[in-house]
Amino acid sequence: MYPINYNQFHGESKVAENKNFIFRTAFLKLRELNLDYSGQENNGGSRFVRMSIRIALFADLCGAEAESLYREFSEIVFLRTLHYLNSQIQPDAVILTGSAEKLAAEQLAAVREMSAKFQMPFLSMTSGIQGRPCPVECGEFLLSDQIRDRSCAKRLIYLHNGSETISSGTLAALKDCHCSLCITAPECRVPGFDRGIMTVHAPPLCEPPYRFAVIEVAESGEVTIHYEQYRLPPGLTDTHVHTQMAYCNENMELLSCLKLAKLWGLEEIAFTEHSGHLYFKQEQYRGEDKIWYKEGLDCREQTVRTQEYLNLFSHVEREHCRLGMELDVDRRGRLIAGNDVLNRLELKVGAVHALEKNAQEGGDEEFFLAVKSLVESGIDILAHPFRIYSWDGAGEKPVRLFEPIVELLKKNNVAAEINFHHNRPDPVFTRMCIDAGVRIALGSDAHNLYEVGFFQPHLKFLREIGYTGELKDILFRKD
Amino acid sequence: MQRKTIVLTFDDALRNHLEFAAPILKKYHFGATFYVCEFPDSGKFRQSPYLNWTEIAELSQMGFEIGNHTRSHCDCGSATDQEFLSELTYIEDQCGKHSIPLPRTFAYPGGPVAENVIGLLKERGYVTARSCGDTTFNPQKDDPFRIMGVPVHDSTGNKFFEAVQRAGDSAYTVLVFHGVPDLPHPWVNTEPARFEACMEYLAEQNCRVIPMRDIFTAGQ
Repeated sequence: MYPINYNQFHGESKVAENKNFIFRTAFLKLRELNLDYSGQENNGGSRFVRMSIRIALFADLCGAEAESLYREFSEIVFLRTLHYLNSQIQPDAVILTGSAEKLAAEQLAAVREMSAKFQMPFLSMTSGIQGRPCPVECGEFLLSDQIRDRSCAKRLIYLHNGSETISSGTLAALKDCHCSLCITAPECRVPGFDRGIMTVHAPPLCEPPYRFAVIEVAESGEVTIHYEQYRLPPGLTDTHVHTQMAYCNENMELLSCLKLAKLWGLEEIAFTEHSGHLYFKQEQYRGEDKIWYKEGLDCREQTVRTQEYLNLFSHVEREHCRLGMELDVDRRGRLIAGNDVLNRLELKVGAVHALEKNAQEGGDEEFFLAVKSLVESGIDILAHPFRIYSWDGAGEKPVRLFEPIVELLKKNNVAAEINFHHNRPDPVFTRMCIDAGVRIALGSDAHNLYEVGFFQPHLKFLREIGYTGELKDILFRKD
Repeated sequence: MQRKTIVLTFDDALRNHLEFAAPILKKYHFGATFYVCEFPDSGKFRQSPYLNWTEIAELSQMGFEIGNHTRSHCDCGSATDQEFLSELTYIEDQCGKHSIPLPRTFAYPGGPVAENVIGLLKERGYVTARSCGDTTFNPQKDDPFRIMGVPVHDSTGNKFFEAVQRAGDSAYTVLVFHGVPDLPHPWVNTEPARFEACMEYLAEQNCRVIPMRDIFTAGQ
């Protein structure tokens, strides 16, 4: 059982705020025009009507088939799914079915608590896990485990509860009430003659490749399904993972990270602790005066924990694991790490975590010089480029610095990281890197166990920016 | 046609840098670096011809870069490491006290490159050091700790125009002005009218005029 940190769910991120603002603005405009979403005039008031629906669907959070490695981290997987759906996929509803019988009591309690954090309706057909009671309205759709009468104006999405076969009578009744879709548990059987009712079996999350479905029912009635899976393509390395020594870590632990890496099929994992956290106390590093940034290793009041960090690795198998560090720089561009430590590192990730001048208020020169110092110091990867300008994606990046930084990376053989931890990587900058031959590193920047090897956003991002080639042709690899 | 890139620098922290030069630079949206030091007030003039730190901070707030020219305009070539670091640190500390960003670029006082201090400058996080000469600077190839700046004052004749003409795609011209005018050091004096004419010329030629700190990103 691993502690779950919900801090990130306590407040809306700026991206969520912006999304809500845009939605509200669009709604108000539609009201002005007295039009509904379908474009038809609507007399006597208007309302924003959703004519299509997206549903995330999974089953067997921890069923009988779950292997022991998965079982150990079931609630972590649920937390990852919660975060992924809330922040990236954002369906209209989430449906869980099937079994969670192999969850330990503490895990079940954690899942119950987490299930209240979905930002959309969460419906559960799984015994022991409660969701929103049926029926639930989503625009023109009704999600229900009951067959409604024909006079119901909503389009029914039927949630078949249980694992028994769906009877022909049920299908006939569903047909009668214009059911758009029938959702069932994985093992449920459907008669050969389905009367034209589309049935979707929820994929079992606890079995490889550990996936869930995203179903879209269009206005026309067309149903499309795509699957998101957690098992990764072979040959990937998570180049940016924190440990229990990070001040901002939520539940990290080295051995657990290695087990999760194995679960997701990662070839290798690199632990890269913040160097600033290993030389300064938390209050010094996070304090407003940023003494670590102003003075660097000239500062007389250091609390050095580097040996403690190195010692973490003496008890783990090193075959699929690298000892690295996420290196800070001070305001003079000097690394916050002594040579004795630098010489022991198997991977160096460099990051800009602070500026004297606010990034949005003209800190471009300072930022560029910090990046230049890092890149020329011998790092392997530049972490989360430009994140200091746009935490969680809000804020503009200095486009004029894209090309000089791409050139710096290229000249110094440093990779650019794709990182989604409180970050939205810039598509233009990333594409420029790929086109220039700069290697790309996939980094989770994990501060919570659920983030280890969480590369679905990264792989999707590469497709979205138009990269359709082989991953091995662009990904960073440390020999 | 690609714009010419001109790096504009001013040495010695004369008061007329703030009162006369800076407004003209703002008018043309030019960037510049002011390399500051502390010359002692000789008492010869009614008002000190040099900027105080509050006034230097004002230049910084206007958006100009403040660079390091050592505390006493020292002879870096003959200074010990300790002496040199002390000269550097004094300027840095004053910047810190007056909320001026830490200087990251340096100008060798008196002109020639002081080879003995280059290592120290690098250790302290400086990214460029400017001397005086008559060549352009290529940020892709040339040594950033031996940048040659072309001095421009009344006795340099047509050097200004020649230097600007030489600027090209990857060849930046670095210009060095002193006082406008420079009453304490008349041998580097530039008359205000000449200075105005130079700036007007740079504007007419559509030059990209930048501070030293932008020398690695100016191509964009």
